Amino acid sequence: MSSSFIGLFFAAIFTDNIALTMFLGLCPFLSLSRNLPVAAAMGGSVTFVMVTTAVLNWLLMRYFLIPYRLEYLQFLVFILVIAALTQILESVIDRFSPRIYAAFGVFLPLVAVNCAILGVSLFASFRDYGFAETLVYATGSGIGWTIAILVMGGLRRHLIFCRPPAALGQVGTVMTIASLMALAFGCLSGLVTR
Amino acid sequence: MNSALGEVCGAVLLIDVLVGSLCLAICIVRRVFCRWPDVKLHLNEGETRTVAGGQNLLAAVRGEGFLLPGSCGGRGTCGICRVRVGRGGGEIAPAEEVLVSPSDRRSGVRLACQVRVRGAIEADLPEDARAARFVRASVTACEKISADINRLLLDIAEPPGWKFAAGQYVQVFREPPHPGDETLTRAYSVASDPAVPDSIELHIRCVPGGEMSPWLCDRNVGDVLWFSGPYGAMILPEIDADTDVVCVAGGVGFAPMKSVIRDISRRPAPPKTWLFAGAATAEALYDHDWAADMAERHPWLVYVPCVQNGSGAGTKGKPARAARFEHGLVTEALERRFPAGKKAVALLCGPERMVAASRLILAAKGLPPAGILADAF
Repeated sequence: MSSSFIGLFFAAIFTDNIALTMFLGLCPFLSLSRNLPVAAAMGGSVTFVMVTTAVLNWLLMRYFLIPYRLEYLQFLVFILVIAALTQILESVIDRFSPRIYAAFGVFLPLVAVNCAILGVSLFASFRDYGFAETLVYATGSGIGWTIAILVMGGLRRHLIFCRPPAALGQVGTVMTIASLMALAFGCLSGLVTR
Repeated sequence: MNSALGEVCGAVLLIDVLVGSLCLAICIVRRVFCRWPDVKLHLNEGETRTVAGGQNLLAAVRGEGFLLPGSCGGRGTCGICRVRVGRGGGEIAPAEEVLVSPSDRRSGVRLACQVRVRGAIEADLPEDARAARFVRASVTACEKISADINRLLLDIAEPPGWKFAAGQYVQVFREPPHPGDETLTRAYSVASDPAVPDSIELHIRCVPGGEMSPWLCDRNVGDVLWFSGPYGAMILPEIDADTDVVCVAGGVGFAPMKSVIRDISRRPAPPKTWLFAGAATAEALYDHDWAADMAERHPWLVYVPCVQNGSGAGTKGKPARAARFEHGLVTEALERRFPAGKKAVALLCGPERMVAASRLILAAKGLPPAGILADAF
């Protein structure tokens, strides 16, 4: 049981990385990876909201939507929960931890429109994960997204020493790096078996 | 059929209940957690005010009647609402890392809109913010002076006796302002002579799709306009007879220079003044005739018009006045024409890059940083 959780956790981080294999949350992944401290703040915000919303959405699905056969409303319900929870978290963090609030800056509100957050809640639902599996999967996905954006940020720092083909442009270069990262992350499959 | 209808009604009810619950939860959380006690705001010279906690410093200061300038509605994008914050300012916000230079940050300069008032806080307001007033004016003329620039002449209705110094700017409101409110404002330099009472001249570059400038350019004679001010520290200091004045203007950055030159022309012994005015084309170099005429009449004024595209000669003005256009950027003309090692005070107004490049050129020619004045907008 525990080994399957470890497998799920590492798969969510590496081989099923939400950004590199599902192409979710790519907008902030591409735009905010220019600056490492900003990328780290965004990664922290995404992980935090991803875990809390996945757990809350699982509870709503399990005790509300499934018993009343309203599963088809899950998209709408999940989005509402994510938007509201982001607002609530912003107020609570602002009140109790101004330092963390300042570190999150504008990124916490931006998380509300990050499709990776919705994706994790939906995948947990589609794959019929239990509570513990959802928690492990969401935590792994958040950490995986953070690692991906930090690695991209680190690689982009070194782009200044390279001369990528001009025709690729900045977005093309970053997408090429992302595809190579996806291959590298995918190669880790088999390291931990589920 | 009935079961399908019941299902739809149930689904709608569920969404309504969920939305209502979430809104209620947000309201409760905000009511419980976002209430802050009143705090002490320590201002310059030992002055202390009690303000509501939880708001940003810009709102707190404006609520106390100090008209701190700002043109982005507190979003932290214009970088104008600068104050020196002592204790209680908290962490630097990401927006401030972009807009406030490291040396300014070390000396405590913060953007008031990014500082949350959570406890006792010390803030030194700039003198111009303490002296600024709301002004009600009426439009006496609104005329097009180049392809995208309008001249706006305003008569000041109240308060009586409102004054400004040459080189300062005002913040124009789109709606009648109320103390403490966040309304749309934009900064415009005053181009008129400070010695002429109760009227000002503004130069407005119409930015297509802009929130303020197209509206301003559409004003008619008799329309009421509100602004606050005066603001800005780009004021010519007292100088010796052997000190030159260098004015470098790009686009509508010409406006404060016009005011400064009008002010200098009234002095009993005007210092030698260099006016470098740049524009993309000769047609865009508005008020060229005025400046050329001033230079003809006053030997202390050296007028250097610069155009990036086209020759400029013969395109406007009398031939004698149109003959001495410099070609290229205004900064290139500054480098070519202004002598190195000359004792001078510089006033810069225009695009950010022009101001930054002019600073470097003038510093290389021996001007001390304190002798180079520019406003941050």
